[in-house]
Amino acid sequence: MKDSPYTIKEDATIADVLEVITENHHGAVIVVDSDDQLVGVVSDGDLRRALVKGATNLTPIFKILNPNVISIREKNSQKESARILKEHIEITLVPVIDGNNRVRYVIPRTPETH
Amino acid sequence: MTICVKKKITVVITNRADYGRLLPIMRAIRTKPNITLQVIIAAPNFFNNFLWPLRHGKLFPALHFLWWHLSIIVLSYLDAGNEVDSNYLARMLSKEGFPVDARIPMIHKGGSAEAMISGAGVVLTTIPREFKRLGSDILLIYGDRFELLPVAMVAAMLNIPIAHIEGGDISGTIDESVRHAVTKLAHIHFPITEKSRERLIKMGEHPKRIYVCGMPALDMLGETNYSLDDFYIQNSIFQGSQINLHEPFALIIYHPVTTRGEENRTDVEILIRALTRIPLQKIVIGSNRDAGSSDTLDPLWHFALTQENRSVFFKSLEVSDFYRLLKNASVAVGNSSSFLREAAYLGTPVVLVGDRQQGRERGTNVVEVLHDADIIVEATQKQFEHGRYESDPRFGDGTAGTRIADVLASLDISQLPIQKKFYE
Repeated sequence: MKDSPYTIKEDATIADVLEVITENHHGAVIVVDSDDQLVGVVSDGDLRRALVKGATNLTPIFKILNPNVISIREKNSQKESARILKEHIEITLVPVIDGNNRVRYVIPRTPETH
Repeated sequence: MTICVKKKITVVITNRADYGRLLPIMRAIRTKPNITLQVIIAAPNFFNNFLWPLRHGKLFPALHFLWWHLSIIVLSYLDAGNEVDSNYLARMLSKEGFPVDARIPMIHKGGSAEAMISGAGVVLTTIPREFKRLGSDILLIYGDRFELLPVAMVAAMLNIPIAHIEGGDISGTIDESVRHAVTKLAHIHFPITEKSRERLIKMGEHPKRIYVCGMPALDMLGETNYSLDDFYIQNSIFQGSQINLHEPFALIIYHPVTTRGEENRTDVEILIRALTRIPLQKIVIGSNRDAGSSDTLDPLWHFALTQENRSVFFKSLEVSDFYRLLKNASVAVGNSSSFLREAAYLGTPVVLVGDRQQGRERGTNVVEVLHDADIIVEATQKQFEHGRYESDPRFGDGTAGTRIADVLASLDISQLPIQKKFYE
């Protein structure tokens, strides 16, 4: 996973996330560790709530991220994947992970919102 | 009056793509009373590779083949596109009423360079016997696949004149070298376009033996029924989706570019980003299995899944079904060569993404873009608004098969110099 506009490393700060989210126009970013393993997701809403609670631009994102991230395993059947997507109609970024929880790629589900 | 001797024209078919491209020519040749058509299938089959060695006490080659054969059978169940080509080819040929005069055991599904080379080696050792037995007068071969090289080499050594279709083209990968090498071994050329003809002359081929006939695959387009009315019934993949083929849709094919390595992943991500912004229904067709395909195939499959009922994904399609979609698509986006050729004939607007087809001749229906989401979206929008183009005849007018057969039928082989001379 290199240079994806949809992922960020877990040691990034809120300032970094703001920049990535502003650039990718999807209102969220998938958080991975140094080994590309899926850690969580940070959305616009998560950022807003954190800032209200007193977080600053320098707060590391692992303190505010949402670990309950919806993902699809690359080995999932079409049926299974479709079910997950249907149950979580709200998610805009779909991380696809391999057997080791590593993010292979992130599929944007909706057009970018400008 | 000259005495008419029946010419024996031998075609060598190595895979189903070959078969599809040769079919219009073979059909036309069959109608010529002075030609006997002979067909060699250069694909592995069970008898030659297993039973024969077993009967002759060669246990190791037999077991080696059995293992390979079983793995292919298993694969064919897992992946419909991976059927054992030899059986498929034989079935298709007999369905059309063509003979199978010889089968040579060539394994070309190894996926590695070593497997390709040893496959070519098997052709070299087995095909001379078949040429001699069949008494071929002319060898007719198509295209630029690697396995053509040993076939052409054997025919050249046995002084069998070679007729080659689609020479003078330009493309990437090893195909480029194979195509031009076969040109230098061939005696009669059937290039697709005028430009290819000019290149053949530059390569020292005699203009008198170059016949521009167009692309034989286009012959099939004339007889295709383009109605999509029964498409849903025949393709169960539409069940449950809300795709309406009578509403505008975009056709997407993106093949990996072997020379781009890891960049394939980024290229596809950009394409997907663009696709989310294109408000048309989308039909995505799986890519070929060249190196890099897992980087392109899987993300596009997942993309189609995330688009609820607005997208469907086909791993592969019957050729006639593919042409139906290509003809009816509002716009085609990607890098398939069919977007340049068949789409030009059909008049489908195309957004050609990336440089996989760099150097290939194209019609007015093609807009070429780089890997940039904004530009892809903009070009697709423009092509959609433009609507269908006039049919572009530069790749042929759908009569290539007949014309090639006419040339072969009227050819006096005794007057064909087998010694090649560099024309300049």
